[in-house]
Amino acid sequence: MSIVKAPAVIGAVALICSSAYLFVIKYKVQQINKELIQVEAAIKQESESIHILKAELAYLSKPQVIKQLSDKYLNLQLIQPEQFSLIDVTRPNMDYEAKQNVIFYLNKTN
Amino acid sequence: MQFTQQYFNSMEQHNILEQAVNRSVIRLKWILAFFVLAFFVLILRIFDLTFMNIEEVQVVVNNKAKNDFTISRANIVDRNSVLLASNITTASVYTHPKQVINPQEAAESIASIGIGLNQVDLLNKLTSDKDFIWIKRHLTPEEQQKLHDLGIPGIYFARDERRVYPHEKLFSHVLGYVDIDGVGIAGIEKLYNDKLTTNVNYNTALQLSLDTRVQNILRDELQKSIELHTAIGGSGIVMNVKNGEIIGMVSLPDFDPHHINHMKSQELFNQATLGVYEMGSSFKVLTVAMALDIGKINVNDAFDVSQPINIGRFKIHDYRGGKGGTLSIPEILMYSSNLGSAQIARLVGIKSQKEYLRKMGLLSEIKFDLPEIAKPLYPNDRRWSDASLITISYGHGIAVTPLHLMQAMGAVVNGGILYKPTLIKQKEGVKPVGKRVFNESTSHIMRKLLRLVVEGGSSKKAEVVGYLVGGKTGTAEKNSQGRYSKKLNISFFVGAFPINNPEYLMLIMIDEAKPNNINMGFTTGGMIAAPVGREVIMRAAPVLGILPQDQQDPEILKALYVDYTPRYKKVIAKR
Repeated sequence: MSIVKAPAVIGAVALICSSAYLFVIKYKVQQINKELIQVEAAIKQESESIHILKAELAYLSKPQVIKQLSDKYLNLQLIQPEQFSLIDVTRPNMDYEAKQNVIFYLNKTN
Repeated sequence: MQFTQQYFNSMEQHNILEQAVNRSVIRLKWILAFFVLAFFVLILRIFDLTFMNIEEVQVVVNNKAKNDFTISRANIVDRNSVLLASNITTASVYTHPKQVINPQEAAESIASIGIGLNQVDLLNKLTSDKDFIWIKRHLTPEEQQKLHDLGIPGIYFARDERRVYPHEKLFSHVLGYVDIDGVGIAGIEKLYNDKLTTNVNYNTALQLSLDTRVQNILRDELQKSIELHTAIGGSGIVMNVKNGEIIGMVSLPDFDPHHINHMKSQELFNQATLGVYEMGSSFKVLTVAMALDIGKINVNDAFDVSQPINIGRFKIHDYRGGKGGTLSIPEILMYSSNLGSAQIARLVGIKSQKEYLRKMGLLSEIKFDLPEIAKPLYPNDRRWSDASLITISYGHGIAVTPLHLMQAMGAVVNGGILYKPTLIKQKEGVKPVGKRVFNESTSHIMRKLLRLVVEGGSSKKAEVVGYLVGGKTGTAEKNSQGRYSKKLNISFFVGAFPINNPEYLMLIMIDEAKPNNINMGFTTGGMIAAPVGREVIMRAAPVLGILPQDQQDPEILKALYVDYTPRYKKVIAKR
């Protein structure tokens, strides 16, 4: 009888252990899956919002709007060609020259 | 004896009993073995499920990915990925009329919440015998909420998508528009409809070569000029001459692509690609370029422009009496002499003129990225006479679209290679495919001549110190009812910058500017279109990364030096 009994007992114990473990795992998986579905839905919602916000951003930052805001709040003038200058980093007294240029243009514009 | 008999009987019974027991035990063992085996299978399966089988979860995850947010039409973006067109999800409301219990009451209450629905129309829809009817497409969230709050049975919402153009009118003619179901019916939306609707996810986008900032500058300046000179319309194109990419393309008046039901036909008309015009003096540039290219003239040649030319019953004059005497080649362009250009054309001849115009793509449709394209108008072979040769040399008797002129002028200034204009951003590092039309040396001379025209000729008002503008104006009298009108002009300016190594080419066209105090009565290209060119270059060059140059730099002066003898002698005004 004992030859039959031993594997049966081992089997029963293994059965109980693994089914308990299985239950826990399955339960966790179900939980996580539920969370996953929620997160996926949230992601979908958010990507849709981002998509709409991108369109809104493009609408709110279109050049005409920027121009209106700039006219209202900033006193900027169109940059003139002579106000451009290349900064030659290889020149040792670059800072001095740059300063001179700025002073020159300020005097010219005032 | 009896006992023995009994004994044997009982022994026999015992044997039978024992046999029966043995059989039962064997059966029980078999059953036990079966159960043990079955349990082992179950245990193995449990182990399998617990430790091995993780695919099932992955399947769930993959299915979720398929339920991702999707749109049915790809975005369109500009060269810097600024959004130009996008689909946003909206709700549309529909009804199954048979499920509506009290249509009269439902129609009344829907009409009363003020979402732009008319009670009579509603009642017609709600009492219809169809199974499905749209009540309103593309509700705003607020409208949807109001309607939802009414709680009318038989009224349902469906997820819908609507095309939005954040820049509204700015790109109207380029992008085109879609119908209520999102099918492209004009512009890029039409030509690229299949590409925009296959394999779309919300991150895919069609990238155009346009630059929103330049587009805005172009539209802004054209609009100002149209208002200033009470013109009826205008058009402008900015193109990269080194690969044919269109950076800006505007046609005014334009339209709001969100309201396609209220558009007028002149607003829908894209003058830049669909309108054909006689380009006037701008064509003289092409005439001089072809004559130089085949070696019929060189820069120092001079022509007598003192006498008008008679062809048949026509007499050709220069504008406002011209400059008289003789003019050198640069002066013919600078002072825009019809007589000079006519004589150059005679040297070129009909055959070469036609061949060059064909090579420059001016005699055929441009296969462009818009469905709105037009075929040029020109005399057929039999009617291409000496008179045609001469009038075509200064831009009359042939009508092309502004895009055609851009394509041809691109080849004149970029070293002689014709690039097909495109609205799609070209991959960086890929060498653009072009066709050689002029020798490189011809193009180099033409750059210098175009610079002279802006420095001291008819295009002076396009000069922006530092950006080395080179260009040519043109004025075409409008042909109305078969007669040229002196009063109705189309003014052109075509210019490239920086002309010592051109990067961008620009065309400005103003339609029917009216004489006023600002233009002092001159509705010419030099007076109307050239100043627009100046403003556009002034604002757009920094955006395009063109660095101003010192125009007095000896190297630049040397590069743009033209060795010619000026022939024009200024005469003291004789009134």
